[in-house]
Amino acid sequence: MLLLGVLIASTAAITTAIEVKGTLAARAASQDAERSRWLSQGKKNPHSAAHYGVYVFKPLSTLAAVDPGVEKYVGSSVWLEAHKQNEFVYRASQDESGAARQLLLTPAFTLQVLAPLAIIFLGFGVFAGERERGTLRSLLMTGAPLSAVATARGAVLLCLGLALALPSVLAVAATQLAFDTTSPFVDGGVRVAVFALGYVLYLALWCVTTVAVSASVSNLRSALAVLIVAWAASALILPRVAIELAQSAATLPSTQAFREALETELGEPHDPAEEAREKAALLKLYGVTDIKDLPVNWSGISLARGEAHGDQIFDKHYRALFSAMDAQSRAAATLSWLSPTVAVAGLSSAAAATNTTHHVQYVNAAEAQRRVIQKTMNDFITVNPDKEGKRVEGERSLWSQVAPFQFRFEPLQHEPALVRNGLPLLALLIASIAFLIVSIRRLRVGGAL
Amino acid sequence: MNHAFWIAWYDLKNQLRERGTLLLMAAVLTLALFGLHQGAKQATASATSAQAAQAQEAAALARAQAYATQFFADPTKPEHAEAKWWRSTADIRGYTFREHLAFAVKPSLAGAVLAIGQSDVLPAYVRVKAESMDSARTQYEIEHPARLASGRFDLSFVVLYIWPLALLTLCLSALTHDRETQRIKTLAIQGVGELQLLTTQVVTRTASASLVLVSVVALSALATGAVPTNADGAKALLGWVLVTLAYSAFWAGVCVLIGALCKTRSTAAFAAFGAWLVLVVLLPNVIAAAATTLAPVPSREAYIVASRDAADAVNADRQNLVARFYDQHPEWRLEKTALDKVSPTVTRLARAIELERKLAAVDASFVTARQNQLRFMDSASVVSPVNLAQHAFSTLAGNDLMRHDAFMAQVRGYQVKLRDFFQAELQLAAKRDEAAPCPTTCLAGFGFTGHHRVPRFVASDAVRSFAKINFDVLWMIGWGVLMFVGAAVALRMPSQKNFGAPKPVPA
Repeated sequence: MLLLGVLIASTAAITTAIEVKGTLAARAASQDAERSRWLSQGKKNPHSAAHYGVYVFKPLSTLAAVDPGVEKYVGSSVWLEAHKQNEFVYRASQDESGAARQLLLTPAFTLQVLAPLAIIFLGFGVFAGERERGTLRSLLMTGAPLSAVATARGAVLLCLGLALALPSVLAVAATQLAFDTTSPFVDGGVRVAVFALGYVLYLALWCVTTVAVSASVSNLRSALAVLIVAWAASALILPRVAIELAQSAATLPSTQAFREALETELGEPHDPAEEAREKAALLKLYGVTDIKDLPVNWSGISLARGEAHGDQIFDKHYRALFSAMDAQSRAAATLSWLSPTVAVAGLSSAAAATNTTHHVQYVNAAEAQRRVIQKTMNDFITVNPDKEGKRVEGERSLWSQVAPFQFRFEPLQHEPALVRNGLPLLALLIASIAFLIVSIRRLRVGGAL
Repeated sequence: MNHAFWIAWYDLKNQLRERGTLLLMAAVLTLALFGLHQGAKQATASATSAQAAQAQEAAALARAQAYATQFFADPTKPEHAEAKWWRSTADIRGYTFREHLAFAVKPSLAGAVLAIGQSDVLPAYVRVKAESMDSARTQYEIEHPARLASGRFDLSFVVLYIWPLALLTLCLSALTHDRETQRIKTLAIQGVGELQLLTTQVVTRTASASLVLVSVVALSALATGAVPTNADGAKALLGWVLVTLAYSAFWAGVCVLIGALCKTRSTAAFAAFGAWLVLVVLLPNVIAAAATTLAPVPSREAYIVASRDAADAVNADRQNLVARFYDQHPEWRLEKTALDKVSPTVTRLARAIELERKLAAVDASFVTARQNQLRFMDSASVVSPVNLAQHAFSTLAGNDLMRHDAFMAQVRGYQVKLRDFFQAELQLAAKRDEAAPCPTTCLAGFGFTGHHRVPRFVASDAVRSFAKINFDVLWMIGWGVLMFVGAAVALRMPSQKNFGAPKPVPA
């Protein structure tokens, strides 16, 4: 069983690491290509440049090689252009048949689903087997404290369970070494520590539970049955049920309804009276009567006004959408109190920056970069009035004023999953230890004899 | 035969007395019904958003027609003074590139509730624009990403992954229990062989459990209206029942082989879950990994770079492109306007066609890679009953990638039709406008009132009709039979050493 587990874990680690390495290379190359395209677009009106725009590509951490999280199901790139917050496009999942989607073999799947199974099979007989064979009495007669026996056997199980994590660790190290990429984290060490600690606690929980169940039931068959039911419920059923039930926490709009609402509001003209007032104030400020005589370019001011109007609408609609998603995430995380797999999955994808919260961080950062581009272009137009009816033009010196998009995820301490998922995981571990103590006490007192 | 009947009868009675068996069946049935409910919710949600999109299209068409009628009744009205042609439904330029709203809807099949498949990843409807396929290609339905990533809890999830666990658990004690309790010796005296006992027990348990499962699910699906009570609904359910029974037959074969090879229930448990891991987790993933390795789909990041390069090239070559376009379509060439003075809006579709032409090779590489992957998956899946059943369920539900590809091919045909329509309208309008230019949108120029003539999408029968499952599913039964043969051979070998035979305990 352990050999099969290591084989599966190695397969998962190798395939995911190769995939992440390929993705990292493709994104880095594309990001460079886009940057040089932006810089060498030649002389043109800055607003045309704003429409020309740039694509940005989401960075991946090497931890994504262990837990790809939602990466395949969210687009990896977005076009930053004038007037519009575009959606992320090209989800990897759209190019796949979906044949292995449900139980996709990744290192995270190995650790979250298969490692507990291996622990169960290796450990369900630690006390139940002794009981069934009638050797428990001899064990008690040796004078060894049962708690020490349980701890030792649990520790051995944990070591065996952690052996399944080894291929993942090697895969991450190899990816990190093979691909000298800038980390998208400001707190990489903390994340690795949370990631590792989360899995150690999770596997420890299964080891403790396995030993406790083995000590509390009368035979091997019952021990195995109880543990398998617990595993199937925790690792296979509840993670899916959690997110399905979470749908009732908040309703997400259909794509078309979302777009329609956004476009309808964007289509409404911004207050023409306000625009007239602003124009009049500007004319008064510079003591002229015609916008052509202004020392500033009215079209730049007008474009900036249009962008500000759009920004408000985008913020309103996207904020509502992301709030609804967060409400669903929160609702799904409540099942962490029942399923350690839900808890560790939440913690793991948070540490690897592959959960929805981190994706939203990137969406917001990309949108902020779009606004920086628009502001740079519109400011330039504003301070450079058209001359003799000829529209102002920008060149490389202007394009390079837009700094390359460097994204870093927010520190993990702000991540809600730490509490939403970390706390239940800890509580479940404590509960399983309490269960073990009670089971061992009952065994010692004679319940098993 | 007589023996077999009594063994089956006795075993069934024993199983019904077992509280664990009843609890297990109750749990699986609850999960299956919950899965069916989730499938129904997904099907309803898809249908509702598709209907909403169609209603939006119809409303937009009605609004566009009404506005054009009102506009051309008196274009000088003050309320039209601020009208901008690029946002006007009464102007062919504004209508073509901004205001025209069309959706292509993938019809839902009668068995949609039976498997969510890829229906949450691949949209049930797409917006189609005359200019390019981009809007259709990049359309997604809004879903919580974690919901997509965790995999959906539906009926096919229960049948594909939980049901084998249930069958293996039910059959763990087949023969092994009789060996452990030495009952096998008594039965041997009565002329009951190990193979007969094992096969009868496994078949009794798997067949009775499977019949309960398919009956409960089918009746619930019909009673709740999740599957329509018509010929298509009946066909879909019948298909689902047959695939489920074939899949169960395969797992029955696995149970027989495990029972033949393992002496005790503990070793049978190890073997059963090992088999589950290999067949349910490892094999489908190995096939998927092999498919992506042998037929890798190019990176979408590279696609973006290629499309940007192509767009740059088209823009750089704009003048030559316009010249070529009018050489190919002399009937649309403007008589008085120099080519470099032709409005970019009038030649915008020509640029879009050129962009497509430049990207054709890149697009083809994606299509080819996907087709190669699917072909490989198809041929390799014969060794994986999980893949066979998963594919069959998705096909029955109409929520598979192949049907979506067929739908998208139709969407492409529709988009070309739409583009040709608008191209002709734009060019004829440009000619009219050249002959008699008017300062605002006018019927003698770019004015447009033919909204009802714009082509609309109609799904073909190929996408609309009942999906047929192919004969590959018979491989599941074939593998089951092979396992049975393996078990028979294992039990007849005189030197057979069963795994997990208890070691003699020293005195």
